[in-house]
Amino acid sequence: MKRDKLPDLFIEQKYLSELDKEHEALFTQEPELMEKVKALEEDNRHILAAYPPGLMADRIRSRMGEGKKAPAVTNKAHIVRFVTSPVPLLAAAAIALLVGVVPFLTGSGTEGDTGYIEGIRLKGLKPQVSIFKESDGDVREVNERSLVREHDLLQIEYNAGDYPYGVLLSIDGRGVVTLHFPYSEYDSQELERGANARLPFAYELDDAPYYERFYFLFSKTALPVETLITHAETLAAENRVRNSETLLDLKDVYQTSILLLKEGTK
Amino acid sequence: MAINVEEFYSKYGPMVLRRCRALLRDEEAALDAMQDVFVQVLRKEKQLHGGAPSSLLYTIATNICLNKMRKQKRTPLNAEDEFLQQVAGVDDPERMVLTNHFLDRLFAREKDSTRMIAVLHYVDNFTLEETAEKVGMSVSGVRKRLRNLREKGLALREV
Repeated sequence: MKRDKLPDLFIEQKYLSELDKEHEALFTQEPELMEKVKALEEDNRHILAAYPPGLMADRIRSRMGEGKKAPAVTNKAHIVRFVTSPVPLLAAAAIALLVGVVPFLTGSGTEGDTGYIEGIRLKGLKPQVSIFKESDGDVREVNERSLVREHDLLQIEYNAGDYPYGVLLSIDGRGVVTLHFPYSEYDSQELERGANARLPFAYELDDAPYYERFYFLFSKTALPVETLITHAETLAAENRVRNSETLLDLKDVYQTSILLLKEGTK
Repeated sequence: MAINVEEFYSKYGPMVLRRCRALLRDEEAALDAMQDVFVQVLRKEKQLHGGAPSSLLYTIATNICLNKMRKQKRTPLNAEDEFLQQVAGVDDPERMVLTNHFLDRLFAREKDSTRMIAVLHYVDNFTLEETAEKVGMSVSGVRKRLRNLREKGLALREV
């Protein structure tokens, strides 16, 4: 019986050389199917470039409860669903967003490590967050309303104090919400202990205009990430990000925020 | 069989992600589902019997995505409804005109495996035999499920 459409799995299996003999015959009968097989090669290349094997293997192992915590995949496509207005996938992929890069601060970032991070000390049990910017080879800490520009690298450090859980997200001038920690809404929110815990990735700023505001929430219990993202999207949609130092009023949650301004935009 | 996660992902990740994208139509959700697929397979790696795991990965991906779609009726586009329209409409001799509400009712009390069977047969175009093999049922069992689903659909349409 000839089918209207061959199951995609058979195309995949042909590419993987895992197709059984019975179905191999279909490709002999319809040579144009080989075009679909060839197209997979190109698509695979795109996928593996966007979601590199090393990074994804870390994330998979992390979900299995093994190995180190995996860094966020801040790929453009990865954060499409956090764009406040509906953007078709291809269009969204064309927009440059924050891109995860190798951290520029050296050392483990845990207590006892000095590196570039002088002045970051445990002060009581209150959480602290620092953002460091590398621009033209110069590393310095940025503060509220510091100027930043496209291609600046940002690295985030925190001292969670006695708060075991946390969420970190940012909203840019285009209204794009990026979840930096946890790595997805389903991943563990457990924070590193120590004076200067460090997110494993630095972030390269994209060409989003106006600002990038970071929200840090520290909690004694796990936080409703989905709700926080939704609320961040609302803040962005209502153009209230610039003046909102608090993401959402939550009991027993310590919050702090840093607004960075994009150079050359108002 | 000890699996090198990086190599395993390199080989099968794109296929699994394409499958998840096709069903979930949301990059973030698809990426999340893809990782769940690998976690599920790797946790059972001792049960993998060499050879070609693509079929297993594909079936697990389908199952995980359908579960996510059922649990997360929150996407603005409501991908599930659109998807189920396909399930109900394709290859159905009666070419029922189905509304989202109708589809919700149609699948509301069905076993999860029925939804899986419907997807594999109606959407993916697997034959009854191939579908039966993937869900671990007999061909007659799959045929019966689809017949019941169709009858239930017709009955609902007449209400």
